[in-house]
Amino acid sequence: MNVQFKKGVLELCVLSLIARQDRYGYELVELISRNIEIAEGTIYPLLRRLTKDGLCTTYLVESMEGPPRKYYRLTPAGHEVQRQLLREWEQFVRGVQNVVKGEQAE
Amino acid sequence: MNKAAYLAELEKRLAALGAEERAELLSDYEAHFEHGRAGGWTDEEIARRLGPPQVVAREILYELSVGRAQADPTLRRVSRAVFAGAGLGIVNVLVLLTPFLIGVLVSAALFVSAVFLAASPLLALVQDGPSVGYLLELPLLAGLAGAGLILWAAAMAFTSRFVRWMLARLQRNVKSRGEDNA
Repeated sequence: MNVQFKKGVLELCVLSLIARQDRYGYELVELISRNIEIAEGTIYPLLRRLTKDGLCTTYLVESMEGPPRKYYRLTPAGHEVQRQLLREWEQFVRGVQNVVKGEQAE
Repeated sequence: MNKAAYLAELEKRLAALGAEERAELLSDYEAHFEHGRAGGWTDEEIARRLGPPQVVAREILYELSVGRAQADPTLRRVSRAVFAGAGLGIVNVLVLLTPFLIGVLVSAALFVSAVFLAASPLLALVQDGPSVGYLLELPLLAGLAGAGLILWAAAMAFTSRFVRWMLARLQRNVKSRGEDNA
């Protein structure tokens, strides 16, 4: 994938993962870096920004193995942004597909 | 680089952050190391995958400077954000620094021209002395001074628009920039 798209896409990935269920930071990093090559350190600032912007909230859960887990939960505003970003992404992918496969735009 | 060294380097570089925010971020990275260790990774592997603390810190400081510029969009804060962003890679130099420098130059040129026009009656007086010729030129000089004032207002308007435009560009850049530094 072109690196220029990555950062916006990272936000979509994080929001989409939390949209399905609450996740903690390390888990998010693992789920994403399994599929996309990222500098993992950039996820935490992103999570902070999303929290600051009111797109998600956090809560701590103690864990038997390892440190407490800081879970992220999507707010209604976060769901709205996730849907918007997803629409933009799908539109983008369709556009690229059309061009690559030589089909006309509908 | 082990966990302690990584966190120490990160903390040092995040000195510009508020104490609370810095502590919270550091605890995120500390927890990340702990989770990684629990998953069987060595500190070196975890650190490598996180990316150098210098790069992570630069990223965080850039977001911070854009947030500050957004809260109070003065030319000073916007330029700080631009320079923080330009430090993140060559693509950012092109999309941030270049338009910023052009805008600042145009803005400065407008202000300087405005000052010279507005001051033209005075400048002519200094050059020619209080002569009859000077009195005859006075209407023309008054016109130039007026044009100078108008140009000053235009320069103010241009600068404030430019600062807002640059800010919007920075905000977009923080959100969707590619990781050309990674």
